[in-house]
Amino acid sequence: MSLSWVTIVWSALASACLTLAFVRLGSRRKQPSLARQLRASAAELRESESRFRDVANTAPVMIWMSGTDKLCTFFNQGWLDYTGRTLQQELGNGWADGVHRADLARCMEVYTGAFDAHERFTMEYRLRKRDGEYGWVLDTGVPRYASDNAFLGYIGSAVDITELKRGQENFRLAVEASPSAMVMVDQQGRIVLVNEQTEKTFGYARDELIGQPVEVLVPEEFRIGHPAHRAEYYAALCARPMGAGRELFGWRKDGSKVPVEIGLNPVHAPEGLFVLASIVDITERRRAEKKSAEQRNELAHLSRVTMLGELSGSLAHELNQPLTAILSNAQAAQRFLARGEVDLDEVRAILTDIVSDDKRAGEVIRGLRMLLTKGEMPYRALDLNDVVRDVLRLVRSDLLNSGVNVLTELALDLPAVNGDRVQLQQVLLNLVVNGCEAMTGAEDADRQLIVRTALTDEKSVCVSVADMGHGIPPENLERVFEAFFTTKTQGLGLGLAVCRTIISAQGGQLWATNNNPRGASFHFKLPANPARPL
Amino acid sequence: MSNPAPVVFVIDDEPAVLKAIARLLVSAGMRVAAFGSPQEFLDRYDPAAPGCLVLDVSMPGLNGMQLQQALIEKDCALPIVFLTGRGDIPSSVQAMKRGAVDFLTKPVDDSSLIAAVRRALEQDFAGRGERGEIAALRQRLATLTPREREVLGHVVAGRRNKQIAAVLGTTEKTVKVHRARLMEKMQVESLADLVRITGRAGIAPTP
Repeated sequence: MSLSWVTIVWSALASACLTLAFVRLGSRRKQPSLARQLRASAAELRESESRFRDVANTAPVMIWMSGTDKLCTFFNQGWLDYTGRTLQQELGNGWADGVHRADLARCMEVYTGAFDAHERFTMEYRLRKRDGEYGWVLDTGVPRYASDNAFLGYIGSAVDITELKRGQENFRLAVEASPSAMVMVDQQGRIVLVNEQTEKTFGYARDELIGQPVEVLVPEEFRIGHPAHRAEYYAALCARPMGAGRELFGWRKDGSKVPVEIGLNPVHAPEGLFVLASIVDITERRRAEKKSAEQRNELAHLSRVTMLGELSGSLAHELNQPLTAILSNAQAAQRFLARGEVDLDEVRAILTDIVSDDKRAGEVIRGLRMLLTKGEMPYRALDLNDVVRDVLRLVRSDLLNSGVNVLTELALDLPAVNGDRVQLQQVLLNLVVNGCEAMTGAEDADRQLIVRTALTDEKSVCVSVADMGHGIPPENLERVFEAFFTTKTQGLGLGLAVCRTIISAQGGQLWATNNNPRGASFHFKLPANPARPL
Repeated sequence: MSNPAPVVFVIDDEPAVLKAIARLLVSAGMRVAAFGSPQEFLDRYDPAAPGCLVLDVSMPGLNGMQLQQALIEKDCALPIVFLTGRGDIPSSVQAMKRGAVDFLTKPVDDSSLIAAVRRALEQDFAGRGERGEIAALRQRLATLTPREREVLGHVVAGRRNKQIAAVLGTTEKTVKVHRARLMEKMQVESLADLVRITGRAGIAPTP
């Protein structure tokens, strides 16, 4: 608010001038004899008055004085320059001719009222300028007294505040025109200004809010802590969003809550310090975000189910192995028992194996069920090494059948990442399956897939899947992530597009590079969770 | 045959499955040797030892089908019972064509597995017997002179001594002597026996 600063500077200058004038007028010194004293006093007074006039006439403000009869006795050069009139025209009540007719009665009322009570007054009015236009002035008058405390009349100063007024008006218009709800609050937390959008967002009429504590707009559960937050804000004033990272809600007149985003700005005005809160109703955005998250999850699920369909053979095999072991173990035990050779140690060993094989089958089912789950999972701290292991276990038999040898280079002491385990498994499954497909037709020795995890720049965890296939033409390195871009005869070409959506939604990046000398690598990077070292 | 008791060689890369299948066969009173990979088996296997193979189809490195091929190339006729995780028709057809005893889908019921293994062991036993017989015939054939070997071809083609003498440009009497000697060396009493054993030894009649 540069305009406010201008005003403050003006006011400071004006009061400095006045103080200087009073000091000069009121200064007295002890003299040895009365005659000399009087002579000296008269001379000093003349000098003092002349100095006052010099100061008053060169001061960048308009100065006036009046006598006990309320009639004006002095206007400085600044005043006369402003109105373009002579001192004679202005003296007495002449100055009132220049006051805008609409403001005159109020002005006279303030002036005479204060005058009779010998009180300081401040008023704003329009004063005709030299060019005939009216300018807004801020006029401050103070009573003046002789050394014996006799009331002498008033001295006052006026400054042009037209620009300030225009600024205030612009400010008001800007606030009014804002598409956000704007609420200005004073240091006591009272609402001093709201715009039309505030009325719409919160369901209150303007008059119902002005003068109320801002807490009427805060939901009950947050109301108690709010004054403390306000105090914190005043302690460290800056323009910033409110409630860093928290979900904020407004409280409507009808008692409903509205999700909002709030920006706070300190406003330094002549009247003091204010905080202007810009409040955006994000109901629609929330709804859109929710919808897009739902669609993303839906698509992710669809693509997961499709992929699991392709992997069904492998998955069935993973389930079949423990079932085979369980059946054979159980039937072996039956046979041992039937033959009457009851070796309890052997039976115990068989039962132990059955239990562990059954658990393993359960794990496979659990993993599958998780992958088939629809909908959003809460983000959890995850070890990406675990995700890699889970995925490789699921596709083990597929890898065997396609003759692909998988090497893992998993970094130790990997920090956790925050994410959706299922969707990350899906991404990795996609990358591994793609890597294998990229190597079909290659020599046995060349069918090698390397899965690496690494901590990069201390802040993110990177997973890379490198194949030894033909690589990706450079012009397609980015296009492979486009929906429906595919080089395969099967599949929709959605896999990588969905993967990228998943990784982006979890705050990470997914990209492809070509290896030297051959093959391609897909990498994804997720921010490390600093709070959770594993 | 004075061979040692046959052994069922079980090969599966999945330790839990390997252990369970081995246990089941032991419970059926069989001698079992378990291997975690085909390579491990190839490194330690003695072709002279009788028995059969119970082989998982999909394994890392050399898989079941490749091991079957390797054994065929080594002229090793160990009968194979295949186990597979998936009912994969093309590979089962291929395995059976190459002489597999059976192709069973996991999880396998004890009676099917045990029956298949028994068949495989019988096949091995019979095979070994037959192979022994043929080896003996080959040894006997090796004792024949070139002339006797020549006469043998004509005899099993059903020619009379007089005809053979004409073809070989010798006397009927000489042919008769050769014939008696080769019957003795081949340890047969009749022409019918001679035709049967030479057939089994793979000797074709001289056209």
